Amino acid sequence: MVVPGRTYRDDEYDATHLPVFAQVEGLAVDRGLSMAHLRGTLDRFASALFGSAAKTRLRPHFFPFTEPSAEVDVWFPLAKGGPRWIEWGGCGMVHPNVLRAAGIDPDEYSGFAFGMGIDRTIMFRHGVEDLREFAEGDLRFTQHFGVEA
Amino acid sequence: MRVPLSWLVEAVPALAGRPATEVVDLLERIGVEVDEIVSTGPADVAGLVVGEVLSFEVLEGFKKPIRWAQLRVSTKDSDSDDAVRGIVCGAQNFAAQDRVVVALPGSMLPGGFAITARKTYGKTSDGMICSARELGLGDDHTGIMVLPPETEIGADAVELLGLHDDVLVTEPTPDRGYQLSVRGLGRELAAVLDEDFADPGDIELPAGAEPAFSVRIEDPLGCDRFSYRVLRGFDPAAPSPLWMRARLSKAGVRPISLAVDVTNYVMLQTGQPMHAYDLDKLASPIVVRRAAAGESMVTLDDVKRDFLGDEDLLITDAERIQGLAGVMGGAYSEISAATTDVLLEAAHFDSVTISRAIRRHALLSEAGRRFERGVDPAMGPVAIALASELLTTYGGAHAEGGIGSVGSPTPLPAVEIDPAGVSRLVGVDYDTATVARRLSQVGCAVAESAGLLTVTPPTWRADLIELADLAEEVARIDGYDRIEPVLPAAAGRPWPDPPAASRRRAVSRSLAYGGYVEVPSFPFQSAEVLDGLRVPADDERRRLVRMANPLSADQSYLRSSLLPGLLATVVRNVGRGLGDVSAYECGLTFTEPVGGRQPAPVLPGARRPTAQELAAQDAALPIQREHVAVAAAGAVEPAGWWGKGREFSWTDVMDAVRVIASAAEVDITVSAAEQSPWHPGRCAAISVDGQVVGYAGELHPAVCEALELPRRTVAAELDLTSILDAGEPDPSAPKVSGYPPATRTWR
Repeated sequence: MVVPGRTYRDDEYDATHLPVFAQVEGLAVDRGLSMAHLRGTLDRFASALFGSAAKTRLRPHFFPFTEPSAEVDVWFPLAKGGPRWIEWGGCGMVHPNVLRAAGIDPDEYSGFAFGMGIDRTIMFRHGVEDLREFAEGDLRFTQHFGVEA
Repeated sequence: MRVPLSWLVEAVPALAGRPATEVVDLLERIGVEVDEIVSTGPADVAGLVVGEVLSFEVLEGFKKPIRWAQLRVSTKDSDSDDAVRGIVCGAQNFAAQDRVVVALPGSMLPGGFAITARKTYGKTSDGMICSARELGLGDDHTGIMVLPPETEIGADAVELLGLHDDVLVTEPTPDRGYQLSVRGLGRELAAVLDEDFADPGDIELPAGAEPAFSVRIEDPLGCDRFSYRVLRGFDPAAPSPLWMRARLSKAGVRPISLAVDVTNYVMLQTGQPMHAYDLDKLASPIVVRRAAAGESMVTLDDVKRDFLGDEDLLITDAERIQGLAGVMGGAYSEISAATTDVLLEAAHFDSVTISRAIRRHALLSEAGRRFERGVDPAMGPVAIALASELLTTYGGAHAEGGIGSVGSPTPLPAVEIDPAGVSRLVGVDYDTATVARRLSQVGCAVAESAGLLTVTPPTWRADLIELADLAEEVARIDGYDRIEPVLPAAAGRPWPDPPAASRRRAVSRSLAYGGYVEVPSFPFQSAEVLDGLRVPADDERRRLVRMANPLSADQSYLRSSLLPGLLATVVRNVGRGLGDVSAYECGLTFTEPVGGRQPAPVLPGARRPTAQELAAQDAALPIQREHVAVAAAGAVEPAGWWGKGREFSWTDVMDAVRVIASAAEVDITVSAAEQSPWHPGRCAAISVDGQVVGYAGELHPAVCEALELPRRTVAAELDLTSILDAGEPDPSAPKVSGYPPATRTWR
């Protein structure tokens, strides 16, 4: 499943932080899922958003609800100032305790999960310099993105 | 943590000669973020030599005493002019035959400070004698730095003091306290390179003699081990060795005195926080216990701390409180310039207890930072031994009695795993030997039997509990880059949108196509804005949900209506010069239920909550309704050669309401109404199935004035949840008549 939604964080409101922002989170639970499947899914997601040359990289990290955990960077070929790795979000294999709390046996099932900031993704995909644009509702900013087909 | 690369090289010889950027890559591979590399190279510091003071004379007639010193800076060509330099110096703390650091003309000091020969106090000063601060080795600027007498004259002082180095500023994740040490970082750098690791914590402990002090733990949950030792005959004036001062300075720790420097040094090296007490100010026995209500003390930073009874963990002795455990010692027993006898402490405290104390007292020390993340309970006696050795060597101290260690940390249970389970979870085909090797490299003891591995986590890894934890260690050290992407075959079919979701989306899209721009705002509001909107005192929009921790005091409630945020956006756009504005927002509104709410009970974890438990969670929530609101001001049709144009009026906002109803596939009825914030004569109630779901019309002139909106701003707000709940559209096809309609009666 993939769920976009509003999220809240105790961050100062400035050009690179929003206390209220949009996040898209993915979760898959099945028999035999592994980090390889997580990477495959992330790569597909990245190429859909950033073009076929996009790819992902995982770096070990800590989240209480995944184990193993990773931060995901995306290789963005069309980034302003040249192709580079961009910190994109967090991901990992669903922590066995999370599966147990949902009544799923972690010895039989495994799962992966990931989450990215939508505003942040639009920010580097479209070269937005100030995240506050997403909160201020200036019609000239929003109208640029048009209406979904 | 700021860690000099040269220090890591000592623990991992294979790092020698590798550029800092490569070491940073290795650290990021194992999950240690490096915020910054602070490099000091030949462009920053160069041309410093060791000089010997041959003689000096005091120049008279100036405000402060000034010395004109002759220094030998080279042992070669001892007759040449260059071998002996005359330097003017304001410091008074050196004598003939002292060895000092000389910056000759053409040399460079940290901070881009180029040294030239210059005329001053009537002499030509041929360089400069350096203080510790000028060399970037701490804050000491009370005099120049005097080197040990055996230091070779003419030696390269940059190399001698290790001034060229790369300092890595690392940011470990909150679960890995052990990475806040050279020991912890070194072990994993060695592991990822498959190279040798020289564990600074792997030392032979001295044979157990009776300790010369008595310690008792009254709270074994807060403190499960307390190691200590008495040292006597310590020279409080003995300076810390240069190499130690250099390392501490690079690590961002200010060198203070030998005793303090040694405890800090051993902490950075092993990760074990230490404390040194003035033994004369301790009354046996030391007791570790929880605070009683009303207790307080003055900590090292000269601040009086009031303790919370039964919560704060204290180090006390027979007479007084000596410290807030794991966070900060007391001012009373602080090491002074006269201290000759010390008691060293290296304890292991509960991370939750310390974490709470840090927050309660807003006191984040280097010790607290480590205890909060977890410290190796086995390191106490090792740290005491290392520190004793340093204080003996450099401070002339001698140990009295052996290392004391009371308390017994609970050993970590072994985990039995099938190595194939690691491969399955990670998606890389590891053989058993690789799994075993990688786990040993992070410190586990691994035994193989019948294809299974029995893994005993090292003392500093209480987080290694089950297969997933161990799988992460194997994958991390072996490299996440070895995981090849595989696109999974999703077992499920794509789920169709629930009808309510697609109708909801249709509402939003129709408004956008209708010329309204979506402007999602923060869902916070003030109570006062409702006054501006003329909302009556008994209106349900007044039942605001207050936030415990608002971003700003004037937005301290969750919104009960979309209008405050939407109208503020209209004002902002008008303020930016957009005369004609039409905008909408879909989002949740929040109100308190009339009967109030109960706090949500904590869920049990480890199993699926029951339906009752889930219902109790839901009952703790405020009333949340999704609303849609539109607002418009200015011209709907601009004026031009074709005509006068037309301003937005309440008929336009009624059109928007019809667009919403049509997209949501509901029939609405419209009737005249009076409702704030609308104009009484120009307000319509919108009903679905006989139930009012919202209002539309022109805003009250007083509202426009209060909110600084353009005159005759129009708006509508509808309860989208009610509209979408109001019945699924009827899927059965209509029966249409093939006959022309009879519009007249023929007779």
